[in-house]
Amino acid sequence: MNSLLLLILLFLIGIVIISLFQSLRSKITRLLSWRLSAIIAGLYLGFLAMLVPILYLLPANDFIKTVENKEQAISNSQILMNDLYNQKFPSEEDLAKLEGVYKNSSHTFKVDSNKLSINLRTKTGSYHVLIQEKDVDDNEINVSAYVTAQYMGEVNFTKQLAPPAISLKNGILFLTTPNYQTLEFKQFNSDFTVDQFKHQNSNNGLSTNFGEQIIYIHVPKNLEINRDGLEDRIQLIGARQKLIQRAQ
Amino acid sequence: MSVIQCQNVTRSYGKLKAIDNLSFAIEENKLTGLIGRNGAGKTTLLKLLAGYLKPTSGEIEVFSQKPFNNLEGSSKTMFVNDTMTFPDSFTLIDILSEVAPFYANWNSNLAKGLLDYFSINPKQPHSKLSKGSKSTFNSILGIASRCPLTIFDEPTSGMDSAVRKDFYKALLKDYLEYPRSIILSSHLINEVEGILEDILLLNQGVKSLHLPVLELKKFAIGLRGNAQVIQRFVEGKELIYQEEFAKGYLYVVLRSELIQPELKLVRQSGLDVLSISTDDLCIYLTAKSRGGIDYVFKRS
Amino acid sequence: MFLKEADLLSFSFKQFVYKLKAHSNLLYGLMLIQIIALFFSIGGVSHMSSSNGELSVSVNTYSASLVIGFSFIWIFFIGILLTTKQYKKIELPLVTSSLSGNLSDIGFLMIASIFGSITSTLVGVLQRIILYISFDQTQIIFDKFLISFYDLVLGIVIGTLYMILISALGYLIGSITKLSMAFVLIIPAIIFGFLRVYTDFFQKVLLVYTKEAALPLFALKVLITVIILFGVSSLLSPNKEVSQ
Repeated sequence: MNSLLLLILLFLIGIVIISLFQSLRSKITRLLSWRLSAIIAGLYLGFLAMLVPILYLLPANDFIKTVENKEQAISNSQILMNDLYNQKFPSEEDLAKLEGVYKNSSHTFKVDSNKLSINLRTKTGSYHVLIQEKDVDDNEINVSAYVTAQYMGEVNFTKQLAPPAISLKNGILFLTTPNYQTLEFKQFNSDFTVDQFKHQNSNNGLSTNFGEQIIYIHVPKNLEINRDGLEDRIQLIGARQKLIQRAQ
Repeated sequence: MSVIQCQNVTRSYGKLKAIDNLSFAIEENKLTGLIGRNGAGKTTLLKLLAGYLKPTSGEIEVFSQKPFNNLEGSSKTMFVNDTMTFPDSFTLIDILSEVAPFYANWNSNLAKGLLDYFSINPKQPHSKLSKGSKSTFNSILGIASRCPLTIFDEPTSGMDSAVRKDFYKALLKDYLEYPRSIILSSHLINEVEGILEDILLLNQGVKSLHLPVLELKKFAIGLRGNAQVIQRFVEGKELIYQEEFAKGYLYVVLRSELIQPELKLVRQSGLDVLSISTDDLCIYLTAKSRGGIDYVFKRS
Repeated sequence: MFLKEADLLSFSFKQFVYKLKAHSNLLYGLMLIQIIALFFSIGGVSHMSSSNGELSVSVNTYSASLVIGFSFIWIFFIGILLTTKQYKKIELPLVTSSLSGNLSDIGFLMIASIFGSITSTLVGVLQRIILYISFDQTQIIFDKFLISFYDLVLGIVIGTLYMILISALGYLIGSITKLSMAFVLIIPAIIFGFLRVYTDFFQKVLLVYTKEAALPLFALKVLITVIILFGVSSLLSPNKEVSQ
């Protein structure tokens, strides 16, 4: 119904423009002989035709190309989230290899305290912190931020996300979400004439998939982890997990 | 061979009969004048001939074909009238070259020469022309097209008298050089009679007469003098016109052949015998009521 | 008989050439309307955005559809315009019959449709280049930005077919209204009445064309319809006298 209304509106605008032009035409075109009209029409056509090779010659390196396999990437993220929920944690190697998952940033901090607590200053609940204890005590905390596939329509904007700000101070790992980010994309659709003969429905259903952030933290052996109140968002995996379970 | 053949042609607009049961034929390569007063049906007849209109009844044949919506007829006919329209995207000189391919006998040098002679700016669109220039330009098209049948409907309206005379000269010259059938309508016979061969006089949709101009000049005779004397001669004869120009004095017009044998006697009786100009004759023949305008004043 | 047909074609062609020149200034209307449509669509024809608390993503979608749509409206009016007295009158000083007049009008409409379709499709290219200049490449989705040459040609062919179809419809409507001025009121009334009462039927008729996804079949449907529309228009005019 809405599109019909728009169509009628366009139609009316068209009528107004044409009638306006008609009334002006008699005044203007007396000066314009058919030769001039033909030349102008020819130039117009020529100008537009000339744009075709120009379009093909435009340097096209930095465009957003949608060649990735969206379905696979999204289903991977979903499986991953499901696994996290079921306490099935991937190793960082597996995570990094997963299609659709992208490493945002990585940091290495010197341990400055024998305890580590985490301050999650995020606006959404899409941050999952996984802490894994290293086999050695190298006094270093390695933090990597991963994002899962983020799509709007066919556009994968995962790589354009700003990573969270991560810093360590006095045994507290601060994890702050980046400032509010606005991403704008320009997409071309086929004209409706061509659309009719191409079996694709690209114009409808530009669904958005926001991904999840996974912060993988490797801590030195024997570092005490304090995750008060954030047990559901901070997971301890590997040996440490077992240790704690045993203690309970 | 007849170029035009009309059989009992009637054309009515609603109840009004513009052309009423008209029959006539026009021979090939004649320059015919279609004469009639305003509203006599001249334009309607010409449009019927040009194929713009269909007759309500009767048969019209132009080049042995019905002219209405007939491409072949159209290719042999040029109808010049004051409603001819040309696109604004053409200048006059463009029109001459754009129209040329349509007419097999088109004489483009003549067209350009005439346009130049009548000093009309060739770089303007047709719609910008004044009435007189428009008539002149349209007539140039009519002459230059050299169509087997060229019809001019009141071609000189708006032209000044110098241009009129030049136009008639040009038409006649080209006609003599390249004979074809031409019909020229006018309500001013004295202006055209010099170049016409035949005259078709139309009165309220009915044919009054169709004669060569030379015969028309001798067609009628006028008698003027004492009413009683005149009455004696014209008793029982059909009068074309009758006017009491003074008390007891009469002026009558009648066909020459009716009075020819008695002409000597008429003169001896002291009556003036007057020849009738074609102009006057046409006025008399097409008068709405016998007696002319004086009759109106006499009654009131 | 053969000679007459040759005459008809030759005079129709002469008239067609004459009209092509005479009506060439109508193309200004098309160019103007396309540029206006381009301005309307420079901001994108549709916009989608979504956000979660820390991120907002929006996609502006562009296409030349509006330009093409405007061109369709233009050709519809040209179809009607050619049947008006003002435009028919220019045939009179020429060698003409109603059939040659119609044939030359059809010829003009076809050329106008081809021109309109080519230009409106190519305005899409202009739109792409404008976008390329005004935005960062990293914002532009490459996928349909680089329209393939095949798509370009396909768009022109389909647009031409649609425009010829629409012009034939306009020409028929114009021809009907010429029969009697009453139709000027009756036709819109019938159309809107039909739209309201027989919405389904109307939509089905539209779908015959708009849902046809096989190009040859679509071309055939358009061709048949166009022949019928122009045929009826031509049948309506032979009995029409010239009124001035």
